[in-house]
Amino acid sequence: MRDRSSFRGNPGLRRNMIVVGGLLVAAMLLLLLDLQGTLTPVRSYLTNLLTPGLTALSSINQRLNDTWSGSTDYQTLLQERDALRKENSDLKAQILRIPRIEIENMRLREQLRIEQSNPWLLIGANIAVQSISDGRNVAVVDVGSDQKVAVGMAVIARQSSSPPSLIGVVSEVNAQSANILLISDYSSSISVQVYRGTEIVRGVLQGTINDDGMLKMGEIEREANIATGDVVVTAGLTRQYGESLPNAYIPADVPVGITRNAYDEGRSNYVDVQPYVNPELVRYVWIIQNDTK
Amino acid sequence: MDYPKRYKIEERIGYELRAILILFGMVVMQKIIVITWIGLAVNLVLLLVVLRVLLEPVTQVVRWALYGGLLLDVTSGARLGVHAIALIIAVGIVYVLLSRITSESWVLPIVAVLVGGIVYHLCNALLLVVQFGGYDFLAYLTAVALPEMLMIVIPALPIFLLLRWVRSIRRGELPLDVY
Repeated sequence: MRDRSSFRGNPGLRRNMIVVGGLLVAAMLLLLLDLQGTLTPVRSYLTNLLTPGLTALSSINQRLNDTWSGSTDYQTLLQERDALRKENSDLKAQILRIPRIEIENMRLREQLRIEQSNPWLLIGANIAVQSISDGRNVAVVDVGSDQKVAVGMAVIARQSSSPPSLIGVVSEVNAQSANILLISDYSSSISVQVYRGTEIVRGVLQGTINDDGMLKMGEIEREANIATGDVVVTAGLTRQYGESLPNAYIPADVPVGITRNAYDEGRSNYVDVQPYVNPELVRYVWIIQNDTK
Repeated sequence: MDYPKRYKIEERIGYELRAILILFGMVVMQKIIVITWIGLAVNLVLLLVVLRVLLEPVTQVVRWALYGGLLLDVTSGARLGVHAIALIIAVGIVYVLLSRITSESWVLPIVAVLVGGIVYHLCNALLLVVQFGGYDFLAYLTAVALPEMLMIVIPALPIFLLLRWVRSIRRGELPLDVY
């Protein structure tokens, strides 16, 4: 039977466009009210409502994916096993088999190790949703103001043998969840520095809209000399200008990545920075609650 | 011509709740499952609403666009309305341009997804500027818009055929074409 239902006449067009226009205006109104902060409690409530379920689903999905990858790609598994042997194979190889409580135990031990070697007080968090689409790089974690998380706190993670490194900053906090602006998001901007002997080279690290995994360090002094492979750490400059400013919680000297390619754009110097940790691959993070313990 | 059927209020509420549940499932698929298993972002909600507007009344599909957009906003930490605006405009433009063409055409879903994708990303790019200031549009085009559009063009035809088949089952039509 030939389908004719999609042939629509003009009489309905106007009515349909009024409905479309009405809903568009409603959506614009929602955005306007949210930008003004009127709808922030509603959005916080909804995010809090959904985050526990999404975290559980994300965890189940990740385990299924790990199991599937492990059973289908034997060669990858072997390579992975060899790489893990060089580090702490016995511990990591057990992760797939040990129950959840042992995973949490391992994370807490890792957190303790990081806290012992740094002056940081950490809060562990699972990533519920990572939104790496539409040009944005943001994540939602399952801790919030109830766990004393605040806007502007630095978020760190580890990946294989990398040091605990900055992956983002808390951008919004609800009671039981928080949004993290990843350092790879193009709207992310963090003060960083590079130690060159007795000299300190400072700049601003920005995310880019490109998906090559590189970050862009700008605002560098013209005379500054940065070589490939230099370590980039946070500068913690915002705090010096005021405790109430955004990003004032970010402490100095949190590792971020290493420098790659230096280049000029007009009169400005820029350096590509390869982050230690790819924020898109992270599933568990720590939020630096305090760095003066 | 389709005559609108009068529904009871509980039937309407039930229908809207079912739509929200289906869209929540799509959002979970898009944000958690597909990105883990394929490693790429596939905008399933955009794909669904753009294809449905070729088959179903636009007044119904545009409500799906609103619900889907708001669910995407809530789950991705975006401001309320950001995704919804882009989806509603995409649905509206696809409806105006393509709804008069018969849904028998196999090229239609691909063209619809391309048009919907272009409009969606144009709106999204503008909304990003409004919220966070200017950026490299060429980079947005090459790193975000084109890959994401490609990822929804690929499954456009099979999903369109699936949606058309589901609709014919629902209406009790014979699953074959007689010319």
